[in-house]
Amino acid sequence: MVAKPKKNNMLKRLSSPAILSIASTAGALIFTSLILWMAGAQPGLTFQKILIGAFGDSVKIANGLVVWAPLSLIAGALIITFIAGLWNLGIEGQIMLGAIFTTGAMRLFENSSISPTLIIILSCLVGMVGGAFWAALTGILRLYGGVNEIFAGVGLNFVATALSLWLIFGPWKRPGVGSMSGTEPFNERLWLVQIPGYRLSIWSLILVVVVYIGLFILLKKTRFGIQIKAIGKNLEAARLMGIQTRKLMMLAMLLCGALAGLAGALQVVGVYHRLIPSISSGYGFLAMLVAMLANNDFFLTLVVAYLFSILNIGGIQLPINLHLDSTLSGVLQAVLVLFFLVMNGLKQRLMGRKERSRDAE
Amino acid sequence: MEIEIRNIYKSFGKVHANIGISLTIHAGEILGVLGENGAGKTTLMKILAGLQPCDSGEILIDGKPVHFHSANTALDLGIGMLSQDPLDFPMLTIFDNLYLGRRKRFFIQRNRFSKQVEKMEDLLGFQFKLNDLVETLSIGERQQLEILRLLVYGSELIILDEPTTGISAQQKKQLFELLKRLAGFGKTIIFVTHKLGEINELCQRTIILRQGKLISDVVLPCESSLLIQSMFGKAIDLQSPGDASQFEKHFEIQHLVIKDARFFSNPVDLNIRKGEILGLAGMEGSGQKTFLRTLAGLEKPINGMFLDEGYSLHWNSPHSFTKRGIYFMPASRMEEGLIQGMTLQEHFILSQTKDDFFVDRDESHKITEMRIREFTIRGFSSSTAEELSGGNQQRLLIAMLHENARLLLLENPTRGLDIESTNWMWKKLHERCKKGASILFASADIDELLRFSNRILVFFGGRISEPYPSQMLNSEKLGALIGGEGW
Amino acid sequence: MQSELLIGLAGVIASASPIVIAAIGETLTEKSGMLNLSVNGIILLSAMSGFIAAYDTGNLIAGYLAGMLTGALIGWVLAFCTITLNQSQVAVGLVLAFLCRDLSYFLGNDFMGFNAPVLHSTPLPFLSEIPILGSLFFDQTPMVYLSLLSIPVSLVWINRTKFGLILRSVGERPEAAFARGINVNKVRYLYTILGSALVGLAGPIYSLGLKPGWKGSMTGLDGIGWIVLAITIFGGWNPFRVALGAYLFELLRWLGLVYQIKLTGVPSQVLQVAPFPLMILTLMFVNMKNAEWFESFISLLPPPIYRFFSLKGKRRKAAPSSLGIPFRNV
Repeated sequence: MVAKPKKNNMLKRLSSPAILSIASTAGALIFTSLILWMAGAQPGLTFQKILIGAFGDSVKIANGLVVWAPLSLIAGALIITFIAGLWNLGIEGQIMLGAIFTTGAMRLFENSSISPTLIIILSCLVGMVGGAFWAALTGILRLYGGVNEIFAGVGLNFVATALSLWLIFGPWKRPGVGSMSGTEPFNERLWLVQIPGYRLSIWSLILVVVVYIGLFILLKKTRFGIQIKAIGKNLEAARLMGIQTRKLMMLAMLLCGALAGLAGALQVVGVYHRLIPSISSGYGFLAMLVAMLANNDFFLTLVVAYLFSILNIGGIQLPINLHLDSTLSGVLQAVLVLFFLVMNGLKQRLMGRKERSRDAE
Repeated sequence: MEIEIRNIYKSFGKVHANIGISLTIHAGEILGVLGENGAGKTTLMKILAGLQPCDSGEILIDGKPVHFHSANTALDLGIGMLSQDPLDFPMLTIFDNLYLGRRKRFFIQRNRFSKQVEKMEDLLGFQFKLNDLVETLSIGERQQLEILRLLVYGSELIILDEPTTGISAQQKKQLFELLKRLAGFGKTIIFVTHKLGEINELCQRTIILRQGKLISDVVLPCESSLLIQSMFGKAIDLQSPGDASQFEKHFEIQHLVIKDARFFSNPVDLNIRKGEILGLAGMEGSGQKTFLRTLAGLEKPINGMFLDEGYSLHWNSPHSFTKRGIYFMPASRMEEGLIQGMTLQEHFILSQTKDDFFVDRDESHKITEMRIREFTIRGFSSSTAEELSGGNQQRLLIAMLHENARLLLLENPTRGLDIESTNWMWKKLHERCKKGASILFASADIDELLRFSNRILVFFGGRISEPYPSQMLNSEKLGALIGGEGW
Repeated sequence: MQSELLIGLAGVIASASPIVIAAIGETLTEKSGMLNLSVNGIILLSAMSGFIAAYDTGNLIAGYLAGMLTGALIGWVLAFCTITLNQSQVAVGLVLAFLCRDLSYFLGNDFMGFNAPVLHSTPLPFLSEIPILGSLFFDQTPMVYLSLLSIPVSLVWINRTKFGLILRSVGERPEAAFARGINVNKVRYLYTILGSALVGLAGPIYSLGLKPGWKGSMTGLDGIGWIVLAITIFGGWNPFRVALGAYLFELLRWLGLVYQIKLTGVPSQVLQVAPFPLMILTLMFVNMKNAEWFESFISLLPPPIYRFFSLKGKRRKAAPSSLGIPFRNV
C-alpha cells in the first residue's frame, strides 16, 4: 500500500483503543467526582473506600470473584447476540428462567438416590434448557412475530419476574408461609463445593474459563462465528451471500439463552442455594454494559467484568462508611460506557470528513 | 420564466459529474435532457432545483443571478422538481402531502387549501380523494400528485427526472398531454429521460449529456441515429463473440414472471447454455436487477419454473441456490456486496459454501493470499473491505465468486472500473466460462454488452425481450432497443 | 358500593396520569424517528430531582419544572450522542436508562423519607358537580387535568397543525422532508428534548402526588418506564390509543389490588407485578398484526373479512417508517 500522509497517522494514533479507553475513564472519573461533590462527599476518599471495600481482605477479593463469574458468563453470552446484531434485552429473564428450571430440577431430584454431583450437573443442564427456551421465545417473536427483540425481551423479563414470584409464594413456598427470602434452601450436600471460609466456588471460575475458551473457538474459528458476524454487520449482504440468516440468528439467541441460564443455575447451586425473587441481581443489564464497553472483545470483557465486579463489591461498604448509596458503582459503570460512546463518536467525527469524500466515488 | 445556467461544475470526489455546463431555457418550452446512466443528468437537475449545491457556476432567473440555500428557495422562485422515485410520503394522506412544507399558518387550513387544490385539479383534470393515503396510489398517480403539488405552489419551471420509468402507456399518454397543456399555459418543462421516442414525441429541443459534458443541443424532431451517436459516443462496431447455440443446455427458465416494485414482467422462456454469456441490456430500473435476484433465489417470482439440468429449484431459501452453484454479485458494493468491518480473509471464508464447522484459518489465509495475487487486489488478507478503493472492492467481489460456480449472476460487474481493469475482469470471467460456468450480467454499457455477450436480453419498462444473438445487433440497434424503439 | 367503584375508577384515572403524559412525550419523540429507550431512567431521575427541588424551595411548581428540566437534559444528551456523534440510538438509550436509575438512587439517598409538599386535588367549579363524570374527571389534581388535556392537545398538534405535519413527515421519510426544505435533524433534536421533558414531568407527578416523597428503590417506580415504551409502541403512536393503554394498565393494577382479598389462591406479590407482564403480553399480541405471515394468512380469507383485518392502505398502527434510522444528508 502507498505510504499514508502523516496527519492520518496522527489521527489513527489518537483514536487507538488504548487512548480511547483512557480518555473515557478519565471523563467518567471526572463526571463521577462531580456527582460526588454534588452529593457532598469527597471524591478522593470515596474512591479510596471503594478500593478498600474491594481489596481490603481476602474475603472481599473472593467476593469480587463471586460476582465476576456470573457476570463474565452473561457478558460472554451477550457477545454472541451482539455480534449477530441482536439487542437481547431479555437476558434478565433468561437468567431467571435458568434459575427457575434449575431449582425445579433440584427439587425433583433432591430426595432421589442419584449422587449429588450428578444432580448438580443435571440441574445446571436443565437450567441451560430453561434459559434457551426463554431466549427462543424472544427469537420467535422477533423473527416470525414482527415484534422487535428489545420489547419482546423486556416483556418476557416481566413475565419471568412474575413467574418466579408466583413460584416462591405459591407452589414452592417455604413450609408455613412464603417470604421474599425465597424458597427453602437445599440440603447442604447439594451445594456447589466452596473454598472453605469463602463464598467462592472454584467450579464457577473453571466454568468461566471453559466457556470462554469455547466461545473464543466458536466465534473466531468456526463458520458459524464468521457468519453471525456477517449478519450483525450487514444483514442484507449476508442474505445475498446465501447465509441462512434466520436460522443463525435463532441459534445465536438459543446459545446466549443457554449460557445465561447456566449463570442463573450457578447462582442457585453455588451462591444462594435456593430460588430468591431477584436471583439475577441485575447482572443481565450490567453484563450488557460490560459487553458494550469491551466492544465485544473476549479478553477485554473478562477485564471489564472484573472491574465492574470490584465496583459492585467495593460499593457495598459505602452506606456504612460514608452514608453514600451503593448505587454509586452503578453510576460509575454506566458513565464509563456513556463516555466510551461519546469518545467513539468524537473519533468517528474526526475521521469522518476524510471518509465522506471517498464514499462519494 | 427564462432560466440561464452558466458554467456549472460539480464533482463527487474524483468523479466529475458536471463539467462546465451552460444552457438557456425559455418560457413555455419543453426541453429534453438526454444521456445514459451516469452522464450527469440528475446531478444537473438537482443543482437547478436547489437540492444540491454546485462547486462553481451561476444560475440566472430572468437575467438575475440567484442562490439556492435549500429546496425551499428554489420552490419559492418557482422551480420544482419531480424525482425519479416520487419523493412523497406513502404513509401520509394526499392532503398532507400537498400541504407539507410551504404553509405559514399554525393550524392547517383545511377548507381553504382544499378549495385551492380543487381549483387546480379542475384545471388539470385530476380527481384525488384527499383523505386517502398516498400508499394507495399507483406510481403514475403519485407523479400526477407531485405535479399538482408543484403547480399549487406556483411553480413556473417543472423538472421531471425519468418520469416514465414505472408507468403504463396509458398513463404516459396522459402525462404527455398534461405537460403539453402546461407548456401552453406558459410553464417551462424540463424532461429528463433516456428514451429516444419520448424526446421526439414531446420536446421541441433537447440537450445531450455525456460524461458530465453537454455534447449537443438539438432542435427536434431529429433522426434517432444522430441522438444515439451523441448519447453513447462514437459508434464502434465490435467483433461479437460467436454463436453459442451448439453449447450444452445448462439451465432452463420456463414462463418466469418477475415482480418488480413497479410492474410484473411478461413471461420469459430461456435456455442458458454451458459457457454462455448472456447480457441484460436496459436502463437501470427496467427489471434486470429483479431478474437476476429472482434467478439467485433472493426474490420470489410471480410464476414460472427454473430448472437446473432438469432439477426444479424452489424459492424457499437462497441457500439452496448457492448450494447448486448459483452465485450472485450485487451492484452496490458496500451496501449489499461486502461487509464493512470484516477482513478479506473473512470474506473469502463466507463466500465458500462448505459445510465444515471449523474454519481452517491457515488454509483460508493461503487461499486469500492466492486470490489477492491472482486478482491483483491491492490490500492484505487482514485489510477490511472498506479500506480498499472502489476498483479493488470490485475485484474482491469477483474474486469471491466461487471457483466451482455453474451460474454467475452479475449486476454491473465492471461499473467504476477503468478500461484496463474491465478487460482484465472479462479475461477472468472468460476463464470461468471455459470451465463450464454460464454468466448472466447486467450492464448499462452498450459496448460492453456487444463485445462480451453471446446473446442479449433487452429490458424496457418491465418488458423483457426474446434473446437477440449479439452478432445480429450493433450499437445503434441496441441503443434504439434500450430506448424503447424497434420492439 | 357504587361510590366505591367510582372512587376506584377516579383513582385509576389519577394514577394513570404520569403514564399518559410520559407516553405522549415518547410518542412525540418517536414520531420524529428517534427511539428514546431511557424513559425508565428519566422517570426515576426526574422523580428524585423534582422532589428535591420542591423540598428545597417548598414550591411545587419548582419541582415540576426541575423534573422537566432533568428530562430535557437527558433528551439533549441522547440527541447529541445519536445525531451529532452518530452513535446507536439503542446503545445510548440503554446506557442512559441505567445511568439515570442509579443516579437517582445515589443522589436521592440523602433525601430518603423526607416530606415534601404534596399536590392536592382541586375540584373544578360546576364541572365537578356533574353526577359520575364530575367525580371521575373533575375532582382531581391539576396534573390529572393536564394529563387529560394532553391527549386532545397532542392529537391536534400532530394532526391539525403545520408543526405536527412536519413532525410526521420527518419520521416517515426524512429524505423527502429534506427535499421540501425541512431541517430534519433539528426537528429530531427538538422533539427528543420536548418528549423527554414530558417524560420528565411524569417523575414529579409521582414523587409530589401519587407516591409522595422519595424512597429510593422502594419507591416502586422502576419498570414503569418500560411500560411507557411498550404502550407507546403497541398503542400505534396515536396519543388517544396510547392513553387508553395507560388507563388499561392502571385498571389492571387496581383490579389486582381489589382482588387481592378475594383471590386467596394467588399470592399478593404476584398480583402486584402481574399487570406488567399482562400488559406487555396483550400489547405484543396486538402487535402481531404487523407480522408478514399475518398479512399472507388473512389474504386467504374472503375479501370482506380480509379488508376488515388488513392494514394495507390504513397503516394506522405502523411505526414511523424511519424510527431508529439516522438521517444524514450527503
